[in-house]
Amino acid sequence: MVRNLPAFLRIAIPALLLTLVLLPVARMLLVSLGDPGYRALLADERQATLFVRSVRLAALASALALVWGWIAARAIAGTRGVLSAALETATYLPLFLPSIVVVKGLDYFFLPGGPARALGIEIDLGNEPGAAAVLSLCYYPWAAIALGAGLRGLDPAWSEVARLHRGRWATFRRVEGPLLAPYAVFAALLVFVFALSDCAVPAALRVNVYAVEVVTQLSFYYDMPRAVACAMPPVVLAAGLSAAFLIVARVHRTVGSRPRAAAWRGSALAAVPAGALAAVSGALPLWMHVRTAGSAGSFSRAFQVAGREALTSLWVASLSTALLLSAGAAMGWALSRSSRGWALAAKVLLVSTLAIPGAVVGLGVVLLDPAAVLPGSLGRASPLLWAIFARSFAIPSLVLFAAWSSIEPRLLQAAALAGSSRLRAGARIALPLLAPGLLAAGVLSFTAALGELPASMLAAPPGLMTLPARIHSLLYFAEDRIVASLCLALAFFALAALGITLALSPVRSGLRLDAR
Amino acid sequence: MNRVPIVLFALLAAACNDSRPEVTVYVSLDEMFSRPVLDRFEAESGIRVLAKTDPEASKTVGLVNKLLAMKDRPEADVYWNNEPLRALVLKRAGLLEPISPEAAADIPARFRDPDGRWFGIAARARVILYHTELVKESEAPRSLWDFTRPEWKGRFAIADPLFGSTSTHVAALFATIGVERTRALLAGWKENGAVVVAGNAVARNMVMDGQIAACLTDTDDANEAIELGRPVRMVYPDQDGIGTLVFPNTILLIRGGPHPELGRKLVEFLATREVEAELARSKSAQIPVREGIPPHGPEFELSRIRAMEVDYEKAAGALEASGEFVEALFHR
Repeated sequence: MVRNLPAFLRIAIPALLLTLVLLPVARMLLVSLGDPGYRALLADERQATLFVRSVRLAALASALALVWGWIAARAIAGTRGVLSAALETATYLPLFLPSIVVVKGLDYFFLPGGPARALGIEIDLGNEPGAAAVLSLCYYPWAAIALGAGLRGLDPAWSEVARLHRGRWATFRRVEGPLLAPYAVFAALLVFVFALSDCAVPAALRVNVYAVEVVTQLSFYYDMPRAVACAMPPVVLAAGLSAAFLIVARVHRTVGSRPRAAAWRGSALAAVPAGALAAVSGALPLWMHVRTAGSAGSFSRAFQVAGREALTSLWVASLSTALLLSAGAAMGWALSRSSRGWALAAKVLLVSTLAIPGAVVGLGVVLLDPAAVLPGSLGRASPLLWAIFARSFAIPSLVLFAAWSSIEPRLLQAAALAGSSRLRAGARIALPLLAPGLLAAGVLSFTAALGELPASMLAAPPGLMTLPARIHSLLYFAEDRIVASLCLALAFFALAALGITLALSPVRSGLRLDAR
Repeated sequence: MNRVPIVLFALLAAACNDSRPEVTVYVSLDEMFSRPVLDRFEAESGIRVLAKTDPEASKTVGLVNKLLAMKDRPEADVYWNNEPLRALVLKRAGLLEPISPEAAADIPARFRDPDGRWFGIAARARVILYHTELVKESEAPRSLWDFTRPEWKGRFAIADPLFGSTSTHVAALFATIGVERTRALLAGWKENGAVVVAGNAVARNMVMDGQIAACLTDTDDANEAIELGRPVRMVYPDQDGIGTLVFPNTILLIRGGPHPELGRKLVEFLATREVEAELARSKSAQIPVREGIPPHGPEFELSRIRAMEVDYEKAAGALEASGEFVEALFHR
């Protein structure tokens, strides 16, 4: 038994954690399957319209994000030193800003009376293309990460040799493109599922898609069968796409591969559009919130309105991060050491969880009622913590899977041969190598937990409201100055976490979001 | 790095440690106005208040539906509703305990349930708000039917009539002026290009910002725009006709709630004249239903408003039919 314990754990850990994450959805599904009208709802004409609109929006966002991600990845790879570091930081900034902060900031910019109109730019974001554009700006850093990993894996010598005989475009088509294709498809898939489940952006821009419809059905009508009927198609779609990609592209073998020694050469001019993208997706929303807030008095009033919720968000996000990091590390280890088939199945389920509408998770947790079992205030907060955990678990798991995969197993074998115990080898060898991945997973988990909206709205018990939920409730009611001040506070918390992470990270390696 | 577990443990301990008695209240009144009242109760009684509010876009309906769905194991002790019709829905579902706080004895009978299951305080009215730079006073709308006239095509906004006080208004019209006349009015609005938005505050904001000429909203939303100094004016519609809908907040004690005795204490507190006076003084300018409580301004004095005579029981009965009609007309 002791000898087989690692093998047992490699199966048990993912099984247990995925059960915890998927149990709320399963509960909702059971409730709905018992409803006689559920199947009829799936065939409802409105469902078809919603499906087409949601997929179209997510696909458009994904396509745009792929373009932005390519621009950013090439610029980062093609520049050096301070410029490269600055571009990388600016590109990744939207990852640490909750999407409600980004969408409201851009909304203020383009609103009638806003700076855009003064510059003669008349763009209305409150439609499908507008929502797709905003979603692409929120999530293109993920595309940049994936494509950047692909670029680092390319040997520039091959391109140079090919260009001796063919033109640039032919070289891209025949050499670079096929090698980058798995990364591009993975990037597109990741952004697609994020865009499919995002509620904050379409809700703020009043575009009705699955994620918003599920919140409507659950929080307005409390219609569980209809909400689940809306939730299941995107989940099945995400699961199908993930499975197809992971099987066909075999990306699980490429993620975690070591970078080539020679660097990709690109033009420094590529930094200009990349910088512009980073400015629009990160700096511009923040600047608009500062401009709209107007004065320190607005912050004071905002904290009178929502100070309690700000504190709640901080401690909930901190506690959630601790839980996510521990579980993510265990999951990442188990997947990196598992058989290919089991790891593939687990990763498909993990990516699919990103597509589950938060409201379904939130209400599923409420129906499971963990507060009835756990005592005290922590028990009362448990539905909220569980909902945030279920929504965000995939992120640290995937980041730490990449981190664990990059650790050369022979290092640990050598330590074992030298007489070191597993614990000692883990602490002295694995942990330092994992440190960048842990820091990256930690800050991403904190941001995800801090910015989570739909699940929190439904799962939060009375007396516990998070800051994003409070901002959402104030969107229509309160003055823009108060909303902008609260968005800035949310951004500040996320960026402070990033700052602390950068301060803690080893000086040489810095924060590597690809966890190498 | 060694300090991190200690900090986390401290956070965990803080999260676990609160031994005060607590009462759970669902609140449909906007949090900015209800929170100071509940904070005062918490400070005076030492009872921790756990409040759950609903967002603007699903005002009242979401919490009522949740109460109905969880009637076998209710989470809430008290429901502070912002209108009376859904109080009656909950009463019919058998979810309410009888309450008769002493402090509520001077509330007029028309704002109290005859069976003692709810009482009303601090009312609002459904008003028209218009932008004074876009609309001359002589052309200002003074009736709900004015929005069916050609000169108002596409120039007015209403909150989604499936939720909140707009749904209450529609149901009240069904009960007061009849189904056919109300349907004709709503169809006239739709045909005349009514802009349907997520909530009363959204409609108010559009008028405030000059995006639209007029809207139908509540007195609390309208007053906020006036106090911000925006070029807007408020009108009580149909003062020469059917009257303006005036509807109170309603306080209910939920049957089977986890803390019934503490819930009663909260109910007794909310029944006091001080609470109604506080709501009248606040920016929400709630209209006192009891005599002797100073209103926010003369325009918020109940005796000066010709109120629509509504049979609440009949209106509550019309909620479902009016909701179905509205959904078919505005959402499909």
